Amino acid sequence: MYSTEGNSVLVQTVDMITPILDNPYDFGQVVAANAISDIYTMGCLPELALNIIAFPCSILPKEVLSQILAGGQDKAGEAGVLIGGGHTIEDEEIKYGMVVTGFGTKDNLWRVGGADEGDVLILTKPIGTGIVSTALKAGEAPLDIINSVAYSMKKLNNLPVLLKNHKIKIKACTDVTGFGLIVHALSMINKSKLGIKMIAREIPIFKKANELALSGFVPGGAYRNEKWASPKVINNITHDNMIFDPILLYDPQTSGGLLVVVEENNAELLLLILKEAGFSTASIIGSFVKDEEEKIEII
Amino acid sequence: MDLRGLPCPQPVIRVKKALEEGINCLEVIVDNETTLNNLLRFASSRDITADWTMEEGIYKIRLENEMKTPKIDKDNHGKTLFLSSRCLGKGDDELGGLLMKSFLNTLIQSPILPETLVLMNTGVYLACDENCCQPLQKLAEMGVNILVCGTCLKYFNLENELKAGNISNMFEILKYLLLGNVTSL
Repeated sequence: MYSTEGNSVLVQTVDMITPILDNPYDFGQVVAANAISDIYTMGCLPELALNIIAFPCSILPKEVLSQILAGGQDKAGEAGVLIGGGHTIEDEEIKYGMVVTGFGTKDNLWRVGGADEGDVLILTKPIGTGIVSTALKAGEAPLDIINSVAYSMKKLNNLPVLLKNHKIKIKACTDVTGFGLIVHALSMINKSKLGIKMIAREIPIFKKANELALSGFVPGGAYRNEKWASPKVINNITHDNMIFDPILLYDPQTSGGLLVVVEENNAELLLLILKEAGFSTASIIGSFVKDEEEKIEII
Repeated sequence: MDLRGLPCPQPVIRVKKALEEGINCLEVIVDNETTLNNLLRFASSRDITADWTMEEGIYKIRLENEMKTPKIDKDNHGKTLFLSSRCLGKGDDELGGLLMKSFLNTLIQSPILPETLVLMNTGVYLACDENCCQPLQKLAEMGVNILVCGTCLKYFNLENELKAGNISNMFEILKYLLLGNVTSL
């Protein structure tokens, strides 16, 4: 983040991923949505981007590369981002990412911390992309599930745009990516006097993701996240409320949803705005509490 | 199965295939915790018993596909037929064999079928012998639960010859005999 003249700030981010979908055009779109998300997460608007690509030119046809780039270009265009250029290197495995630059205002920057007691936590997209893409690699993910996960990953987290004409104060915001839901939620109460009470039943999960997790299609990152975070998690889920394998809470997400904190009386309006914008599974998954400092209690 | 060096999710796929091919007991060697965790998850979702040990970074996992024991409902009045011999009745074995054949062939056409058929002692030959296993295969297709005594199969060296029904044990068989409506032949 860089302060420019007056109230405005310039923000920059870089993100790069390996393929998680078979369709190159879709993959390109996911990369752009994923990279641009970091700008939206700060409450800013993305303006410019540069491509960074690693591609096995000697193994794969150039057509694949142009499809990937077309996907990135189109998604960036949808977000109003101009791709100014980029850099490609030869590599054994495809990697594609973007450096994205955006602008915001100092007095309206969203940060990871900032929640107060009584505020609510909203998650805008379902979780389970890591598990489904692991199953996809094994050829075990059903097509309709792949499609719904792809749709979600391609969807821009453009909350700052959606809120342009509304006066909802976003108290804190982050996106759910590689560290999974729990670790990203923990980051929101890091060095605070607060804990989060999370309601398992309210957490949106991709169809079939639970079944695939139980079948053993869990990426290694999920176990690492679980190991790291479990001392900070109090599991008080009753048997009836335990409707999914808890490892889903740690599943690394690609282009996951936003975790948004608002005052309770703004929550319904925000949900309405999100649902109208196509975030059909957005829901209030928990609230900030005074007890259990820096811990998440799951009920 | 030595699955060291294979990236996830390949080991899960391999194990799943092996079990689907009918292997009931499997020892798997893997070299990372993710694979271990995923195999344990896979096992517990399918009622497969899994034990594992770790030595010098190598994980050995023993997977055992337990025999599916169907729950018996006391109020279920399905009949259990208990066949403890390949012959029907005592006396002349040749006649007994013919009678059994005729009995089973008639049973196929009967409007009332037993729910369970238990085969013990020389009765297990009925599910193995090529010359007389067809009626039992048909009964199995028609939904009759055929339980074949595993000890008996072993005794007669017929473990690889089973052509109809499922291998069972005394524990499971006893439940049917005690709780069900049983007819011994």
